[in-house]
Amino acid sequence: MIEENCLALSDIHGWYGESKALHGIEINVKRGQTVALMGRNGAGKTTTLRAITRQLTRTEGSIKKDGQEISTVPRHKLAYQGIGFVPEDRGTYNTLSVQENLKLLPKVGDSGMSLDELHSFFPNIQERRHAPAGTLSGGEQQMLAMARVLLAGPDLILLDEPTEGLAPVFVQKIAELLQDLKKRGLTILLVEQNMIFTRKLADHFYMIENGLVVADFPAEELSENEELISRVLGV
Amino acid sequence: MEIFGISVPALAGQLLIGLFNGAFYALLSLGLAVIFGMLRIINFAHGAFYMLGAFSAYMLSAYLGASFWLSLLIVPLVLAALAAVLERSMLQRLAGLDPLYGLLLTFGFALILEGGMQYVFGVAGQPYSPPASLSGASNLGFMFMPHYRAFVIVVSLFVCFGTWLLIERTKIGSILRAATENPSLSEVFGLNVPVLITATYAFGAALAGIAGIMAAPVFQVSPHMGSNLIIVVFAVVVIGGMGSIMGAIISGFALGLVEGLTKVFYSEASNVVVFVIMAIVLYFRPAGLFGKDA
Repeated sequence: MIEENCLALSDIHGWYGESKALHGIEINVKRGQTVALMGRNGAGKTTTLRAITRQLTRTEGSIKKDGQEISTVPRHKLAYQGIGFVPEDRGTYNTLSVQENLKLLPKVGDSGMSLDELHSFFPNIQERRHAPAGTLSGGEQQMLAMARVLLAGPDLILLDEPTEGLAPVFVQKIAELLQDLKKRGLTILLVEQNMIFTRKLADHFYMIENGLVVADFPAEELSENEELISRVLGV
Repeated sequence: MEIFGISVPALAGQLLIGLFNGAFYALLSLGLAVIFGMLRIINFAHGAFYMLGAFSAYMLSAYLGASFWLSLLIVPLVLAALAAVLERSMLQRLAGLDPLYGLLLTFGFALILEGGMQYVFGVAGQPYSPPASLSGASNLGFMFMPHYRAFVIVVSLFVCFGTWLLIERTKIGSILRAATENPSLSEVFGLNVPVLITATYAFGAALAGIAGIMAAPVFQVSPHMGSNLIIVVFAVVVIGGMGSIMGAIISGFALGLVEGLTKVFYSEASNVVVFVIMAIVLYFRPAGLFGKDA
């Protein structure tokens, strides 16, 4: 049987120090899907991504990538399972040049884009390749963070709030890129507060509240769940 | 000929001695800076590593008849291996704790290593001769230049700037800098940070080993040779800026020179001048001359 879930989280509990932030998260991300985690600030969306990338003080439960348990794999080998991560703060290394940032990550797969393709998508990055990444604007840093992960070639990308604080022109650019990645068959787990942005991209939605999944539904059922979305997001 | 009432050969001679001492300051403070940058640990065992470098050269020569040149290759590897074992077996367990624990542990290493060598060899210095090919001196006209001292300065410059190039200009260096800036995220990206940390500690110890073997023919090979020097080296690191590679190199050589000049013009102050400069630098730039948080 071919495992259809690219990523499966089951009964994930997570702690920051002594305080518990996740209380049994269940999420399935089918291969090739874009799945959005929605919820208010502090609901546990980012924490869920940190649980997958093992950045919490303590994490319990099962995390499977392509059917294989990865919660016991050493942290520096996670990327080699085909997992790419773009953290909320972009995670660009400020003291490294743009080019050094781009070339830093080990190649883990081949589903990524070529450097030329990325340069045509993000011309700013090409122009500023010798500048320290710390001198880029927020939008440029986001593009650098995305480009860097794509060059490594993972088949699953964890994206934390890619449009947060960005000018509309960058939001549009990132939406175009994600559409393109979807067409290429990449699996994306997206944490995003911007509903207008997410609406056009996600195939499936998970609503998270107080460290628990309170509802999930496919994109087709979006309109039936407007009331729930408003309640959970508090808009 | 005289400058400020000091004869040129005397002045040049003191400058050379200053540069020579600076060569050791630079090598040792560079090792401390590299280790601090990556491990966030002030390596109090650094002076003991330097002392072990000198003793390794002495033992290789006395027991195995190894030449200076062979030892110059072997000693850094011996120190790197020892440091890797210490890091893997003990220091690694302190990851994530307050850096003070690392300082205490490495201070413990230093006491044990010094005590061990004192138990075996006593406190008196052991002799170690410079290689015959580097004995003698050249008359430069304005001064006599001992070959061995010139050799030490050149090797130190070469190793220091080689290290700088490695860290600032290569892929390995960019990986190290990335792992320094954000270790946990770097691991998520697939960089093997634990191995990088061990390698960095080993590399820093190897630098101390190089300084140790080069010191062996000039200074006495004794168990406490490191603890006498390391206090000055810590001051050099503070002046340069903790963790700054170029800061460590430049302030190492510069403070050696300043010390040499102080010996000429006001020799009574030569032992304290580095600390006076440290106090002044800390007052105006708490992060050091090349520190990034100033």
